[in-house]
Amino acid sequence: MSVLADPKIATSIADVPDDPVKRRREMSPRTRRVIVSAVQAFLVAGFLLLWEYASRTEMVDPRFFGRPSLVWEAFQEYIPSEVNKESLQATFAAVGLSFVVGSVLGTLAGLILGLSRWVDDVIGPFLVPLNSIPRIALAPMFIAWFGLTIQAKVVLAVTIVFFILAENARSAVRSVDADLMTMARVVGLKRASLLWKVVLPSAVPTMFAGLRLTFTYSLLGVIASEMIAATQGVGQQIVLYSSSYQINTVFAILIELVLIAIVINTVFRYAEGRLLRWQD
Amino acid sequence: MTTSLTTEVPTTGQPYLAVRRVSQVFTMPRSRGEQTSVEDRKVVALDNVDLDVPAGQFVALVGASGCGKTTLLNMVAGLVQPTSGSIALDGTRPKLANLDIGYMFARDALLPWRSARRNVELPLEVRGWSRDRRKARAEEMLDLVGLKAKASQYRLQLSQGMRQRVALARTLAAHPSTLLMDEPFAALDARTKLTLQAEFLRIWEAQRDEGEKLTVLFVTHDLNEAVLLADRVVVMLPHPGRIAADLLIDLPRPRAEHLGEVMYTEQFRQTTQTLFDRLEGAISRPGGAEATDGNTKAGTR
Repeated sequence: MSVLADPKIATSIADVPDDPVKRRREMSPRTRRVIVSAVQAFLVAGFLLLWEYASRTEMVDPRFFGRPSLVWEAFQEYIPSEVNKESLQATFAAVGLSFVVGSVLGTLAGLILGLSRWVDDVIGPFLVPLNSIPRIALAPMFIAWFGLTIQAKVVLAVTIVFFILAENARSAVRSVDADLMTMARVVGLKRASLLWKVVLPSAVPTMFAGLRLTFTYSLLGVIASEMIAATQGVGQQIVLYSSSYQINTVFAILIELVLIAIVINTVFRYAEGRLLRWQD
Repeated sequence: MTTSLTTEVPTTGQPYLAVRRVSQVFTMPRSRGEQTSVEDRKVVALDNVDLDVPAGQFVALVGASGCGKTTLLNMVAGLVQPTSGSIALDGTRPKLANLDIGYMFARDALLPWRSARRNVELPLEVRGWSRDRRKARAEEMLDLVGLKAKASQYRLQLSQGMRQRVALARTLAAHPSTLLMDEPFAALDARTKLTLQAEFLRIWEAQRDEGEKLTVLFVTHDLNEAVLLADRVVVMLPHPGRIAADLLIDLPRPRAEHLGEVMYTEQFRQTTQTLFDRLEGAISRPGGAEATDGNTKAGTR
């Protein structure tokens, strides 16, 4: 309350440029980035130190929770190993195949659903209930059908990915700007050329966002399938090490997967930037 | 329909565009939980409209929203079929993808993934022009609207005014004989608007001087714009959409070079005043069904 009586109040209003809130807003983007990175590094380091400390003092059981320094050792030991190379090959062959098959089938289905009222009326209502099946529950069945093969993994991953892309492509086609469509029709574009010159290009940004998800979910599907039963693959390795309490190696594998995901995501962003240069 | 302000438009033989007793009735979708009959949900967008336009005439359709001016344009483009009545454009019934028509919208409707030049090429692709010919024509058109340097820019890199220029270039690229323009400059700021009006009028008047007959139907809600650009102003009124006045504008041409001055001439002021009274009279008399007889003066109420 005494502030109200403060004779300096008038000058403090005039001094707005010195207001700390305002000055912080004027921070250059570069300084901002540096500070954000520093805080992030601090958070990660703090978390790791806490984990290390808790594990060494046995506040948490090191057998179940691992320890960062031992994870690093396991990482150095496991990553160059032959078994890792073989597992990665098996897993990513399946992921690649699921990605291609899933995105082609899903996108095609989505385009047909988006373009044809008839097909959408007949098939559309089945999609949501089908997509709500917890796909992991189908894994034992697919393994029974296809045996311990790459097909079993791919089929499971495709059942996940397909619906994401179908829905994605359908809404992308549906949401083409009405003005562009009117313009295109008046200009004289029809069927194939309308699809090729207006509908598909305007669906590309939405579909790209879907493709990035597709990779993540392909990996999810394949690893889940491998965890149920497989002769080789990263998922099978994870189960192996988990059940023999080698938690540090499990963490090492997870870190490896995250690193691969980051690389692939970067590739996607780069391709997206090149292909969608017109967006900015 | 007779109106006190109608000046008989001299036509020799068949008019280029003939609109005969055209009506358009939309049925609005029923809103949730509402018990309205089909009759109650009917909206008469156009009621018995007659309009003859000779080839090469620049006609402005002016009116408040809901008077059916865009609907009329869309019918000429073949996007909408009239509920009753008939339309003939150059002797044939309008159908979609009429390659003789150029249609320009208030929103630029540029394809954002194409450069300015490739946008202008779009109508030429439909007409099967070769790549080289398309490119040459697109560059010529961009030059005409003063955007030669921006040919490789994408939509997001262009200002609003530039986008409308590209749209104008695209509309004119394929040598249409009819231009349908739906408030093409409405979304622009006053200054840019005047520049583009002058630019467009310059192109049109140049074609006219070369003896080319480029018929224009120009929809606008801006009376000044209508009088400034057109040979003839058709005032339309809503509920139901109809023609209330039809006036020839005899401001001298070419006007493009001194649009700014034309606006301050006594003749311009008087013409605009006359039309304004006609519009205003109807606006201040809501549901003015008696206005259909066309003889009512602005001050009757």
